[in-house]
Amino acid sequence: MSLEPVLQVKSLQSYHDAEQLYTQLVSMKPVNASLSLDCQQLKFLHASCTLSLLTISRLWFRWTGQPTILHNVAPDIDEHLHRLRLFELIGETLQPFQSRDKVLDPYGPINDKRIVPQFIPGHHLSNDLIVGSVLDAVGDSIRHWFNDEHLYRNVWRIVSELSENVSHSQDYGYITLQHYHYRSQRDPHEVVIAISDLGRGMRGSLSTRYPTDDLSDSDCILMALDPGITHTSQVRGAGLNEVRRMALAGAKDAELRIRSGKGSVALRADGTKHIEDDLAHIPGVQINLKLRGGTRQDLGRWVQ
Amino acid sequence: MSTFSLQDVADRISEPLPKRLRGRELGLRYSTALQSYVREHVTTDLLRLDLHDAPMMDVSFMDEVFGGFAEARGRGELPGAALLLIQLSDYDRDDIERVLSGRPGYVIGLRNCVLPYLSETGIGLLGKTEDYVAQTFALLQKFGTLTTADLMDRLNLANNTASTRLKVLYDLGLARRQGQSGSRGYVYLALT
Repeated sequence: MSLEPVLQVKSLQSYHDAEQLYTQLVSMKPVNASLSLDCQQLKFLHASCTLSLLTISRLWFRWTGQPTILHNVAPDIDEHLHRLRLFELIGETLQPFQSRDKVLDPYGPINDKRIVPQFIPGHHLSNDLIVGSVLDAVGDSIRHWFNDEHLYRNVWRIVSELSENVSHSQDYGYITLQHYHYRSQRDPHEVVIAISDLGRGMRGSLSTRYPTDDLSDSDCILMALDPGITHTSQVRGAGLNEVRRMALAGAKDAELRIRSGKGSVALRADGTKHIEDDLAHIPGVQINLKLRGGTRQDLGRWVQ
Repeated sequence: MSTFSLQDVADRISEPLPKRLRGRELGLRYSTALQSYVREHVTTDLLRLDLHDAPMMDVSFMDEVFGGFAEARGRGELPGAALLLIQLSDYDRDDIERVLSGRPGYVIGLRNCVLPYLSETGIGLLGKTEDYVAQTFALLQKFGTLTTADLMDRLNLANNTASTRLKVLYDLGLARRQGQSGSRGYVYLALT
């Protein structure tokens, strides 16, 4: 390989792995060259990490005007990325090392276990137009996977609120949704929703109305989760408190992680909270929601 | 008594009714239209908002429309006809209930945030009310009409206390009222 900057992608099974990549990324000096992601050790790409590839490539392009190129990708992961249409989604910013001659059929919208990553516009009118289609796909997918009206309505509302956040971000974003079935586990069903933008972040949104100089990034996230804040301020479109309530109240096992700047807040259904403020600085807001249940009914009965 | 739907609200703002109702901006337009519609009707009227087959609403939209409406009523800032929600799905009922119940927690000075709805067992209340409001409402629904004197007798209250209770009920949209013949007072009417 040439002297291009290289990130070693060892694992992308959880957001902890994505954080390691972000740390590597921000410690690099931006140079006028493409960024290489060496994926030789990558065995599995979890849905909670898919958008991190987009985040890295967008940031590198923003800093240098150069693309990010994936190297040494295992055939099954390469096929997965192509069928997600990830490279088409983000254009030249993220590229495979070698383009495929044969165009692979993309994943179907409903019969497979995912909603492929979707572009979420930042402009309000476009946001409403595009997200409408996403919400239709969400509805069809959840009903197909679980046949649970309660679950469908909650996930629909969560996706709607998070997508509207993007229209307040002064950027655009991406969303993806996937269902996993872990047969050998007691609670085998998991739904993962990830949404990400590189906009002004929680601090930027709050600072238009509140002083934030003395607040950490995680403080800003917690402030945005305060219903009094999200209702009365110009970030009133956030609805994060409602997202938290819908996701965690009554859920068998759920985790909502919100990351912005150098901070993150992870909230779990059991009431525990994990806060970090020493992460690599990534602009915007990145949200991961995981919902776990034993049966379709368990997963569906979130809010009574 | 007249019945209308969200389609009628959309017509008032000259917009097609969307397949899905999302976001605060849209909610604010619907909220403004709904409140102006209520103001146009006299205080003895009962307007029934039919939510049967309503498009999916996200929480921001619900909060803006129903939360905003109930807050305006809670502050005594929305005169006009009473509004009754009918044909509410269980899901929408639960979500509107949460939206309304949560508001007094972060809106300073808002002690009652409530909307009446028609259930299988009668008229119920969604949201948060002070105990005396719920008590007075139940009495009014039971007897159909109440005057200040009636309430004074039934609950052994002072004149101004009874009068205030009924006025609060009216301001919250939980009662209708008309002038009482031969008196400067009012007769308060139940919602049905």
